[in-house]
Amino acid sequence: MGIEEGKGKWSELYTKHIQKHAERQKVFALDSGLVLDPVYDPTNTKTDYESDLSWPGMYPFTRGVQPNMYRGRFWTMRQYAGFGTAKETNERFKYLLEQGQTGLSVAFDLPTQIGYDSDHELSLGEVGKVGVAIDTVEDMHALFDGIDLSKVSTSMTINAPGAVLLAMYIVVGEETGLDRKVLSGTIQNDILKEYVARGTYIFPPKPSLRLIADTIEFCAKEMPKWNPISISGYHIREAGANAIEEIAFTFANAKAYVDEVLKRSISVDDFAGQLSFFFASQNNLLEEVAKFRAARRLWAKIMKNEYGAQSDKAMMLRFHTQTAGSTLTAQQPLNNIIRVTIQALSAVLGGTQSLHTNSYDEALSLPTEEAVKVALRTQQIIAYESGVADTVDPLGGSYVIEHLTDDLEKEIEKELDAINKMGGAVAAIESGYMQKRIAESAYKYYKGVADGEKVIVGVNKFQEPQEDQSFRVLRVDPKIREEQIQAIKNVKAKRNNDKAEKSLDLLNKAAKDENENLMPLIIDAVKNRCTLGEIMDTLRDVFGEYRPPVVF
Amino acid sequence: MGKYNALINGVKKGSQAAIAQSISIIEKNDDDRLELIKALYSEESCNTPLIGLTGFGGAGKSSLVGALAEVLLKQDKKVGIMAVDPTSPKSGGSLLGDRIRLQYLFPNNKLFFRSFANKGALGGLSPILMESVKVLEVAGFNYIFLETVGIGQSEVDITHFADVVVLVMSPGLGDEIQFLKGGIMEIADVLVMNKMDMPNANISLAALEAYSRLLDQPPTVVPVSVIARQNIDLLLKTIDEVYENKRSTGYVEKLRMERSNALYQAWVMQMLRPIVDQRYTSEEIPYVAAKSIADRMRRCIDDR
Amino acid sequence: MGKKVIVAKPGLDGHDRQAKVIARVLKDNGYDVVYTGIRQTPSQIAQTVLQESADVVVLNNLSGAHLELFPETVRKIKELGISPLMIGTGVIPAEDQEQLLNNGLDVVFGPGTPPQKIVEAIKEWENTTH
Repeated sequence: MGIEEGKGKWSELYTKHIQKHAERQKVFALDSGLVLDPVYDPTNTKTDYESDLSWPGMYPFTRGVQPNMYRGRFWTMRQYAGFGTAKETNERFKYLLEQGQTGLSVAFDLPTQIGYDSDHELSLGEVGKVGVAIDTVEDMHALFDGIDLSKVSTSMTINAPGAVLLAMYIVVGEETGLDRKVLSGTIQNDILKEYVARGTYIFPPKPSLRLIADTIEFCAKEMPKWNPISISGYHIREAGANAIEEIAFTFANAKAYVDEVLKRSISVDDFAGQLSFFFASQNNLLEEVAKFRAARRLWAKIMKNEYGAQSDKAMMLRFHTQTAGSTLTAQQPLNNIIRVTIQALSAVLGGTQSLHTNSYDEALSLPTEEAVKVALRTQQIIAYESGVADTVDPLGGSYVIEHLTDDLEKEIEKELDAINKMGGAVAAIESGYMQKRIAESAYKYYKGVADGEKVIVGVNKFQEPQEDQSFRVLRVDPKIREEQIQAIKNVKAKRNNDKAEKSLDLLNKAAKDENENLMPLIIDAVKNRCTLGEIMDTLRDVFGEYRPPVVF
Repeated sequence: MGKYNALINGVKKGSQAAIAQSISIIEKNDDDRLELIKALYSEESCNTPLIGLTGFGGAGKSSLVGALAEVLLKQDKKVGIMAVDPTSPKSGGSLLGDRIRLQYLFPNNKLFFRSFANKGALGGLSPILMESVKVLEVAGFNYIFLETVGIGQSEVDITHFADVVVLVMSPGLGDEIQFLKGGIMEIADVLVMNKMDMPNANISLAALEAYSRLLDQPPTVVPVSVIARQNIDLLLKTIDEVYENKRSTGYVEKLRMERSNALYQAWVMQMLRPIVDQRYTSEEIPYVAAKSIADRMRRCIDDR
Repeated sequence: MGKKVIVAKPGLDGHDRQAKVIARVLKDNGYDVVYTGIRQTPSQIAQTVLQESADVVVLNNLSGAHLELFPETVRKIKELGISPLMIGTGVIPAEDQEQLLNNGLDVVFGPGTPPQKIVEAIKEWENTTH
């Protein structure tokens, strides 16, 4: 019996069966709108093994970017952490390293992310709240005190002031005797998604892109182990986008960065290998695994065909994954451990390079130490006990996964084309297109939950009437702001003010000249103990501030 | 005097609380408003230029108003802005988002911004809006901007009554063709091509200039970039000139008369509607019933 | 005439998914909603509430700065001689909710509250007092 004949027989059987026993839903749709068939078989995908899938570590990298993936080394287990002062965060870092974490990931407070010192009026109530407060390089010294920066890789979630935090990291390295060449890590430095989804922008797009290109160019020349950007779909997804929009908007943004760097005399092969990505992993395991595979394949094609990349490294999509904070519920918080497990598993099955697992109490506050530990243990259990890390791309060849990989890739391409026609990512952001799409998807999701079409266990089904929410909540001491303000005063009193002012003057002048790379000047300002706020204000004077379009 | 003495005094002193409260009373369609309206109109008010800004969504009207206000505030002028957004026909609610672009100008006691939901007023002219303009006039504002979203419906009529009508467009969307077709270009005094910082904006500008020359009285075309803060002063100067020209030729005075007349008509329609609505029964022929009630009303009025 | 609601984001927190969904749900329930956008200071919000003659103010903050920012915003609003219904939303733990209620907020919702609850709270307030 051939496949077609067999399928015909099954089809009859299936139709008869569902006439008698109706299915749970009329349509089984993914959040991205794709609809699942009852079963998949070899006829569903036209995948050509050699050209579409190929082998791990080989173009188009559908199955993974390394030839043996996790058989060599597990993904980097990197928990995002930071709160209060640099000293407190330093203690949390050391704790995490002791527990077997393999990379650091720094969360900064909002004043730092928006380039205000702790003594700024707008910093009221925000200092040390969603991350660590960094005002000067002295704070940065305290943050990494006792940690060997040549042995650990550090990821920093910092965007508009990305160049300044990178400069601080370099200066800390150099002042503790390390050459910048040996430093490894990532700055997020992805301003476009800030306009779209996360909101910590400062300058308008044009000068922002220039500053980012400055860091990419600088790292290509001076910091071979540093990723100067982590182009992030995570926040786009968290703001409400579906899986297709997540990847399409991220790639559109990525292309805008590549285009910007290519305006300089530097070839795509020189820097594209240092571009890294950051995606979300939500609850639908099949959709997420296929998404990661589709993204890898499509990015390789874009780099090869559109940009003429030659080296494999320039075509590889290397990404960090974080489990989806927006899927965590305040109700029955322990259920979140299971959600995080499924999401983390998707990321590993999808071939991620590093992973953050959320803590189960995050819907309620900053994570407590206990919750962070469970999150890290989740990764360790997947790595050491589940067996999924022992062979490459274990779901590759699954009929449904290959089918979804194909479909998602096609849909992402369509969306990318549409953005291209609008004039690229910057135009699509300035007109509010991306924001509008995200708001629509977010509202659709909300309606689905409100109407009960989308089941969230513990929220709109299997609720518990009297819920006990009395568990430990981590608090940040409001006195931290006073401490930070005092620390700024101390640094300003001790520094050579002439030198500090002069370095800011030079930075101001250089900012006006588009042909000058600002990184060396920022490093000088940091060395001379200028504060983050002073440096960003200098640039604000030249670049102006961004005002968002009105989008619902 | 009446119970709104203190409130009107507050308005005259420019108190934002008094202005806001007055507009609220005007918005609430109850008996209170009669006394307030009487008190308001008995006040002398300066003739503040009323500038209507309109254009399709996304043309950058709110940012442009913000940029204009920014310049005027620096000159120590008092600026009033009224923004109108459509109401959802389904729920009757509305999302009023125009403020977002101007929030950075606040806090500021010389700037007053009010969002209005367009509740589908009869004849397009919203009496509430026109009477709110009066409040700002009594309060001694130097400029009043009226910002409306979308073109083709009632908003046209509102802008029609502004002293200076500014049409805002952005490059590459073919706005100019839509406006030309819709006949809206003819009522505009100033055509703004915004976002001149965009690539190929010059092509759109050239097209707009060509189209504008087709009109009997070609409006002034001003290329502007809000992001680059380019030509904001020029636009302001153009608006001032248009206003001054209309004022010196007596056109502003004429417009004000037309405005009052339109306001009267709008109110009459609005007040009569509930009266006539309730008198119709489904057995009647609509036209015959309407004619009969109109005749009765005419007789009634003529008898007096 | 529907009631006017200001949805405001005090502080530096840029995550506006929740605020936007709240704004839309309120609109769908017949309210005229003014959204301020992100990064608002208490003074900016207070002047907005005054100028718009808002009946209700919904504050939303996800960065944990609510204990500082919400009472300060209420204070600035009251200073202007107005007293709209003040609703606080965001990542607000149970013990903070009490504290906010004692500091000028009329209604406070913690994490995981469906936006429909905000509509219900406003409706209840309308029925009892206005």
